[in-house]
Amino acid sequence: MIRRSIIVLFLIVFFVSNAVAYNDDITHPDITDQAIGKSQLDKHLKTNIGLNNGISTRFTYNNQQNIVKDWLKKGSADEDSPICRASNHFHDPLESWDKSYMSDDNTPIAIKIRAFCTVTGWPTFIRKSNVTWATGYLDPAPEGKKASFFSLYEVYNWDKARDYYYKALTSLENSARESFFAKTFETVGHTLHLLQDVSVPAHVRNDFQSHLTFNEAKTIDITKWVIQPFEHFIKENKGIVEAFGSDGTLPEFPSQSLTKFWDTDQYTGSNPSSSTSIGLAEYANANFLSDTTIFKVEILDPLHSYPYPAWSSVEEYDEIEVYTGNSITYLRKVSDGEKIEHLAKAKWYYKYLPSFMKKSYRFRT
Amino acid sequence: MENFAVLRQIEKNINGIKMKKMIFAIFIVFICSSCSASSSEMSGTVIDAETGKPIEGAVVLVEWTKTKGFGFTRTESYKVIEVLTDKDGKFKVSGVINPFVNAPDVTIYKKGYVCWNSSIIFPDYRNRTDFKWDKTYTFKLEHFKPEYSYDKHTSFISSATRSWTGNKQLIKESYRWEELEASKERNRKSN
Repeated sequence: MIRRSIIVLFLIVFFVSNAVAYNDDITHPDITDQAIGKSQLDKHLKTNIGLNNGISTRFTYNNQQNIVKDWLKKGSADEDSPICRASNHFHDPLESWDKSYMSDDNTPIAIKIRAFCTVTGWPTFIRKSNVTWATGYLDPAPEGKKASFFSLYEVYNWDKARDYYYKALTSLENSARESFFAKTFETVGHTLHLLQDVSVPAHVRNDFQSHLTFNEAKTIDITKWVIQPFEHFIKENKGIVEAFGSDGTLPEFPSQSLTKFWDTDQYTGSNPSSSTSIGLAEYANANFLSDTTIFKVEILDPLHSYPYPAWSSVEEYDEIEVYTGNSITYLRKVSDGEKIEHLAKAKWYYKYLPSFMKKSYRFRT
Repeated sequence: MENFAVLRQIEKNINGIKMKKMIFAIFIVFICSSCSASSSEMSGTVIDAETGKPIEGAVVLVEWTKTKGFGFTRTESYKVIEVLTDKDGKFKVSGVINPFVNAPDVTIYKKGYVCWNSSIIFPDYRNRTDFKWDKTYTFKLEHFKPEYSYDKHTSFISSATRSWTGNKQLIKESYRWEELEASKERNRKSN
């Protein structure tokens, strides 16, 4: 057992020990790009700051020259570096914000990942929830209590972005102003990554376990054997993000206080809603499922049981799969908030199960 | 009885050797399947999709990446090569033979044409499924149509090349003019 543990730990360390600052994360920069395009940022920079090229203005920092849009995209990609930084990317809106961080890393393999994170500077006791890591708040802004940050690594949050922005506007040297503008946008990019993460059901339903879902063992590279199904699907189908951006209906947020984008503390676990006036974390938690949190019973799996979507919120239907021609059973969400097709999918034998077994069947998202 | 024990020992040894051979064979199969996307040298020809004529001076960016981590993962740049096509539209790059490196991502840009990428297609970011680069490949560049948006195109190039990472100066400089056009386009839209 000890020998096996050492081998597993060795494999994890071997595959992650060379983490450096380059990144490619595809989905986060693409969502950031879409958000920039839909925002008033370009107009704001041109009219209020005097940057004639708006989001196409170039700034140099650390021998790297990027336009504003690319500094934002860079930040939203780099928030996953080093990889254990992502242990601060979870927020359960049904918990108080000092306890809403990721806490289901308790299986043998997850414990080894936690051990690796601890020795590389990301111990559990300094772990923060996504909303606190991004905004610094432990309670809703602007009156809320602020958290203290202890990290070997640089913290990129909203307060840091404001600090860099102030320095960008007030520094006397041109090169310093350039650097601080670059750092401002890079740091806002990090914050955007965190907001984007709370649209992922697994990140708001305390579901790190689903990040270890077996996919395929086609290559020698063990890192590709497991995936988070939802994140993997979006990454493999980049057109989804682009198509979403072309939809003309966008919610408006007049005088929105910062933390309300994440969590407004309106959803209590008994009032699921499709309203965009609740926080993104609340919306994703109440309306969507993640792979380890599908209709779990609290007494059997308290870390992964959530009131909604409930078994009573859904109905079954069959659909012919385009590629295989097979009839597949899906669940659609018909009540308790947003109405959603293809909420979860069953294997072929599901329809032959007796009804008392269907509720405990393990669906996939 | 003693002979029986000796036979059991021999059988165990044979099984042990068989098991080791099997593990070794699986290892080799994995390595070979991983290496299939890479070879020591790769070449290509860039042509105009309409006329079939070679395109000289197109920037070809080839990037290999590595996925790191387990559970929490991220992909990092492993090697970047930027070259220009010659008068016959041809180019060559040295490959990467490493089973832990992802298949290379290729982006080609020339002023007046739509940026070509091996994973996604402009303008709707559809997945490209017709590309397989064994040793050589002919890349067909479509003309940039007047109805296309510079703003969308620069976003596409930036995402396709992950322009904010590493040293990708050649491609960044080549489409800098489009960023200024994109800015003017946004001005027109907001007025």
